[in-house]
Amino acid sequence: MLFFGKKDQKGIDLIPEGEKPLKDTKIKFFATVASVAAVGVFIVVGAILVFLNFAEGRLLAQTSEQLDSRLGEWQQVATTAAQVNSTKAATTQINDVWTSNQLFTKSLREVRSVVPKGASLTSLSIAGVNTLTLQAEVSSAAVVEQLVNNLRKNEFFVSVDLDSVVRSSDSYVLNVGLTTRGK
Amino acid sequence: MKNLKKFFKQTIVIVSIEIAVAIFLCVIIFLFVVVPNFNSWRSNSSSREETAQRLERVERNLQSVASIDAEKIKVLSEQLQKLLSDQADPLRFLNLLEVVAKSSGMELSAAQVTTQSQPSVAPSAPTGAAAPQTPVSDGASSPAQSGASAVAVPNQSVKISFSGSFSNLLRLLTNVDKADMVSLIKSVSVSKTQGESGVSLAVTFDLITATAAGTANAETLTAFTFEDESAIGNILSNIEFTSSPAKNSVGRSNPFD
Repeated sequence: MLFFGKKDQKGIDLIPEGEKPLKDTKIKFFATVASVAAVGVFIVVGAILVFLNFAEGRLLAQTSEQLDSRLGEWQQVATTAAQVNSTKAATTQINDVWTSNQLFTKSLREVRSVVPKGASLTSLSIAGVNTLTLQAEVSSAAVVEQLVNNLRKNEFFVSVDLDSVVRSSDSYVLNVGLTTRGK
Repeated sequence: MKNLKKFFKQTIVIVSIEIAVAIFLCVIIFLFVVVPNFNSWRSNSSSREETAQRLERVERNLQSVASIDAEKIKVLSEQLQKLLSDQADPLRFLNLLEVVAKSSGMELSAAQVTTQSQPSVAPSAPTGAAAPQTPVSDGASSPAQSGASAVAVPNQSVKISFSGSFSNLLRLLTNVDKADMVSLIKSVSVSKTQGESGVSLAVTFDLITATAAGTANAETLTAFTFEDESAIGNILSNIEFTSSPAKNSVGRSNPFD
């Protein structure tokens, strides 16, 4: 351990005295070459990355420039595009409203189709597109049953709730709550 | 001093110093050249890819918009916007509904304009009987409500009562969609007219206003297909009823007469 100057622990050096400088020179040479090579590799890798970064930066700048140019062109047609979008939105909006409105007519037609002879509606309310309340004056209990059965058989009505049946002097008054498919 | 010189002349020391210097330089290069440039390269690369994708989308969109006939769109857009008023216009709607009711064989018996921000002052009867509190005639809204309707209030509701036969009622509800002002039916109340075979109908309409025209995004594809044009054509061809304000001569010697 000569390096630490511990004289009491000297190793046995078997290399002839004449060959020692040659060996030292070789060691120094290889160490220098290895060190320079390692540093060189790092420098080359660094240089490659610097180049790649620079090239990528230039490409990015070019692409950004092209994009800015196209966005400039877009400003000239943006009004037309906005008009197209608002026109399409308006089309959808109108069609949605009409579809919803048609459900009211459909509900009334369906109710008309199930009311039997001997029954006449006194009121019909439709709220929230698919919720119906109807009141009918019916001549007999048999017709009440027929009307309710007709409503229940009709596939347009999802639920039929007989809220009340009141017997008056010469007829029955019934209140029915209905829920439609909504389509 | 002599020992120190001797120490530094030793091969192992020189080699060790060389290796230490090389490692130091490598670390310096790695930390201050390799790592930052690698990170920057990756960041630039992803930014470039993202920009290239944006560029592609914008170019595709530009081509798509360039193929659209701007004049045709302008005309169609104006025609559609007429159906959706910029602001709720209950007076025009009332005028229009009177025309629609007449054509459908129904009679407009009463009307009431309310705004959605205020609670409705006209409670609807459970039987659906048309019992408006502020009946009007000749398409004019009530004085109490006209003040509110004169101000541009969005999402206004109009409750209108009609009388006529059931078949005409169905025709009326169908014809509402043929008017040149789009309205959404919120509720319908039909009741039998006392002692007659006819019916009373109370309908609550929501006046539909056009959604505010936004700006088109350069990267979102804007296309106008044949189907879009056909859909607009269907809407416009459905319109049968239009209205315009009366053009009577004005200025009367006794306005109370």
